[in-house]
Amino acid sequence: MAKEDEENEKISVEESMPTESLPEVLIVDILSCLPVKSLLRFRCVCKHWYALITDPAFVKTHLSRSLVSNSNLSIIFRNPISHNLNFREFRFNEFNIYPDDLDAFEQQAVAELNYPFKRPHYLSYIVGSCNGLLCIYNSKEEILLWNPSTRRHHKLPFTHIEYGSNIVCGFGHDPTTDDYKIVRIVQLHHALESKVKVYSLNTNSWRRIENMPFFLSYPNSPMLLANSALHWFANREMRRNTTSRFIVSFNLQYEEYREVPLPDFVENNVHMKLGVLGGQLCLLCAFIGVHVEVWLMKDYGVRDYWEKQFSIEQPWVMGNLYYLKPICYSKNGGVILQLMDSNELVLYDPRKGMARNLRIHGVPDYFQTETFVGSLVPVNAKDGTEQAKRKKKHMEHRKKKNMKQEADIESGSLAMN
Amino acid sequence: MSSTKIFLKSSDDKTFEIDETAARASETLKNIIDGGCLDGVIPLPNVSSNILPKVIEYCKKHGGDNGSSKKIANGGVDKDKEILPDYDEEEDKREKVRVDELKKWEEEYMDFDQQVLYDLMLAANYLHIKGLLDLTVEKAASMIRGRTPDQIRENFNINSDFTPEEEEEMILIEDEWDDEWAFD
Repeated sequence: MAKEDEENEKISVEESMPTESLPEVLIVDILSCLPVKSLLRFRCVCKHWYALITDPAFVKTHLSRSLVSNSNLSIIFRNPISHNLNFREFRFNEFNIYPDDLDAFEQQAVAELNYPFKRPHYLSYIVGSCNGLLCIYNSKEEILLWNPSTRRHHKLPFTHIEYGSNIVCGFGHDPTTDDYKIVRIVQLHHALESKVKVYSLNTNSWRRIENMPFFLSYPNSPMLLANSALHWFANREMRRNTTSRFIVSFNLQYEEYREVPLPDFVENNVHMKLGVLGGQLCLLCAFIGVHVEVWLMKDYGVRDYWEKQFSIEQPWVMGNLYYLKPICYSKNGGVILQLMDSNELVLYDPRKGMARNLRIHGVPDYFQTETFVGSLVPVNAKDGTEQAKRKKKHMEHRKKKNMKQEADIESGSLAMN
Repeated sequence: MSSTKIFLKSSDDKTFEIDETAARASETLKNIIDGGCLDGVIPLPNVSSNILPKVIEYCKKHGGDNGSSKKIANGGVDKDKEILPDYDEEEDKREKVRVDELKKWEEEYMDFDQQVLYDLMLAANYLHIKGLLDLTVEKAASMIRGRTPDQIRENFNINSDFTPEEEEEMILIEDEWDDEWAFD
């Protein structure tokens, strides 16, 4: 029925347009360049635009355009040690590397994000970010999917947690089934194996999968998403020694564990850290006190080879190179890095070998960062629970609004506006 | 080869001249040229004489190089692009000058009213000039991004077809949005 309505709409919209108006393909092109905020506002232009903007195919077009052109990108800052769960967003749409633009860049302030799921007495952290959705985990063992751009969220159903020593989560998208999945690994006490559960948004349910037969090397680091697979370091024995460490990849489509080879050169005195840069798996190799080499995994899943991209010399970056986190490319080939121990953001130009600190107004003293792309991707499980909740919330909002207006009229504050 | 001239005829029967290399910026023209139909004039019934010179100006600037400005603007985003290990300061300066110059040119080139913008977008779409299409589409997007639904309706000549109840609901959803985040 909805389809029929849409067909009728198309005709009426085209008829109402004067001859010099644009064909629909160009309207869609223009809309796909807009930030989510504008699109949400433009849903109420007419029924046809509503249908266009909420069409799942358009949501995908808009997302892939943003990903390809590196637009609608934000950095989320969260203070990990404060119980005051504020998320702050920094958008850099028009960001350029040239110094004059950098000054403008720094003058933009971060904006407070209204996080819908406050739990004041529990710590929470960002598990991951994918296609505009953030996955948040708190110490009450609750997991939440949240789209900060559309401000929709979905709380995952509770699933029993095995008695274990460490819990690690990962979040990503399986493009073959268009499903968002969350993987939770519980490292068992005194055992090499870990119990693993996978949540699927399509079915809104958890299920247990084959145990992970390795030992987690870094039980506090979330798994990293690249090429529709999650990645982490593991050991073959119940010891976290660096020599037997390797990278495990978990494919979100087949739900299989695979060992990813390390670069050949790797020596014992090198400290390795995994990262993601421009959607690719990235390995940071720190030669303590000298420099950090940044390697990217090329031809993922086929030839799997590491290619050195650049190295960062110690003099240019103060503090400990050990704790570097790549955030994203800036336009013109720079790389934004986070120095984890000094809580600073740095823009590094690999060609010049020069770094510059980025001082963004309003960034908390301590922060966890995550990049995310503004998207219309819905967080509802396909069973329609979100729709029902929205309707309810909407009615409550309407009631509140009416009450507020009445109160305003009574107190005379409306006259002041 | 660069001296070969091609003649284009606008919808209102005016003829314009363009170098073959410049004309190759358009996929449509490129196919006509490669198809060997170069006898006489290529008629363009969808492009008028006030838009065609604009199109030619763009093609001249970009030659056969489709969407080159796009590549420069998004440098470093290209995932397979290798970052140069050797930094050449002179080359970097030249590149910066080139990018700045192109940006300035684009700014001046794109300085026209909305109707011309839409006509140029239609022409770019018809002639398959990807760089020009991206440029005009992005410009149109940046022009409308801060507008209200009413302004959009006026702009695109659309009548709202929501029933009063639906409209009220839509406005409430909009309000819900405004309450928490201010407009741009």
